[in-house]
Amino acid sequence: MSRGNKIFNIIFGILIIFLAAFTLIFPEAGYDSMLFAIEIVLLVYGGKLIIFYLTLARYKVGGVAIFYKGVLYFNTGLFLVFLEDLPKIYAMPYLVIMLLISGVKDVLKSSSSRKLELNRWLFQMLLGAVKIIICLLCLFYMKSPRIMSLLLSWGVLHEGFERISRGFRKNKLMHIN
Amino acid sequence: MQKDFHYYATYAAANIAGFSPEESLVIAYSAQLVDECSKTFLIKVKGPLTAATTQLQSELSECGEDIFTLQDITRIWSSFHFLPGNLNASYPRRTKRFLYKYRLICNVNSDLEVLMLKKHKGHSLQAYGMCMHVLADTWAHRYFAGTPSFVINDGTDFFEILKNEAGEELEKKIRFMHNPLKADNFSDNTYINSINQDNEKSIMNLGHGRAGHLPDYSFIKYKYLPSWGDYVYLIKDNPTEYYLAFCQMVYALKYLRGDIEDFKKDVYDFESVESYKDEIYGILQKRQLDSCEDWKAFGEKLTGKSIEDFDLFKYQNEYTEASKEEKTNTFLGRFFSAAIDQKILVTDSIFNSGNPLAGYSVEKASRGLGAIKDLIIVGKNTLRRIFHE
Repeated sequence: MSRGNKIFNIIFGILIIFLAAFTLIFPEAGYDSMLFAIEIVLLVYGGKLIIFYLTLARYKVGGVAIFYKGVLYFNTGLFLVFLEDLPKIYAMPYLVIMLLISGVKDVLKSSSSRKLELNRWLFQMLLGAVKIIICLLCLFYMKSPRIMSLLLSWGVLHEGFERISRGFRKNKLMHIN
Repeated sequence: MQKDFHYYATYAAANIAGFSPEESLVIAYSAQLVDECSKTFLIKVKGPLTAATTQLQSELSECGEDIFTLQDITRIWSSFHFLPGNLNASYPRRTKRFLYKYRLICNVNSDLEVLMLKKHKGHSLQAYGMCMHVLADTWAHRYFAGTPSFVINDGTDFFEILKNEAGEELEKKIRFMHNPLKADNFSDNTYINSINQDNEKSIMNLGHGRAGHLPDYSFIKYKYLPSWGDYVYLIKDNPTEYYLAFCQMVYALKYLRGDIEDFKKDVYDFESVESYKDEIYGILQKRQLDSCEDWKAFGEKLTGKSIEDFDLFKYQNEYTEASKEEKTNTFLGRFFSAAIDQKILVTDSIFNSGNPLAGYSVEKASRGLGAIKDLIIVGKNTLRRIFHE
């Protein structure tokens, strides 16, 4: 990871922690800003991937996966934009699903890291497990948007700390001669 | 390729081409120095930073993804380790953005290779050694580009091609893992490669990082799907290709020595190497991480003299203690000058082909006006050579 990426991860992590803390203190306003931030990130990232596919990755063996990924992110972003005016009870499950996907992704990553003998597999496993547990708790409090909002904030807080730790992680590269 | 080929095999090739053991050692040392002359080394010996011929793991891991850093990476890796095979290559129905990267794919017997050898002919032995590194790497690193690129340098479906007792070819799946602290394991076909990152500019996608050290092992024959290759498998027969590399090195060194009038592409000195063919193939096909011992024994048998181990700091004092005027006449001074010459040649060739990936000029892009100092070194050397002649 380049120095720029590390700094980006640390700054992004701090911003996420602030957002989560804001949501914990002011659940109502925090929820809206959290949703807004997620929409922006999804739209920009999805758009970037689609452009990358159209200009370059479509010529790559297996490059269509980039396109699917881009469409998925962009679509989810758009979807959240249209959900904005709906009551929380409808929007919340999608945020929970996103956190769940992120948690499952971490668990899958940890299992492949374990196979590849990377030391960080346990950390990834814990990270994924915490996210999944938060999602399960959200299911129990489905009818209470306030509690769900608080639970989600803890999930986001967790993600923020993970980002910061990623920024401080030591690089490992394979050297080519 | 590794030290076994760049240092010891180059020594043997130089000797077969007619150089004395002492001259061969200078050529071999310079060929290996290309893999060691990083900015960190240059800072230590107070050399010109534009003479960097490689980047250390620590330097690469700190690299950003801005245009200037990417151009610097491309200049270093394309000039010394992944010489572009065809800067004007075409590929129907491809965008310009793709073609810029595609044209940087390294390959053997390129126009640029001929240009390089012609440019360095008559220069120092250090320049010859550097050329031999670049030439040998065109064989090992062909089909990969010296610029970070996910769409070019990624690959999938790696299989080792082995022969059974009946002589039939078998395919064995190659597994990759990403722990650089571990060693490749030949017995269960597990190799180390860089992490999969679908970020086009990630340093993980530089050169053959995604294929691990497979291109560096002389014994392996393998096939894979290169990401740029439209779902067509590529077969890489390293023992055969390394042998061709050795024969071409002998031919090129004879040209540089003045025994051959003109250097032509796709010509190999099979005749001079014929009597050693079995011995060389024996080393190339031996399944081992490092063939240094075997190549060293071969080189020592050729010259009857022992080959000292490569010592990176062997010429450091000579360079640091020399006066400003004398620096260019030292061993390292000559090497740095050759390296800067090479970088200028390759960068300018890439730029003149309409490709912006390596920047518009080595000196301006990397060090601003300060790099004029490096140009003065090159100029002085040229004048000295003309005067001497």
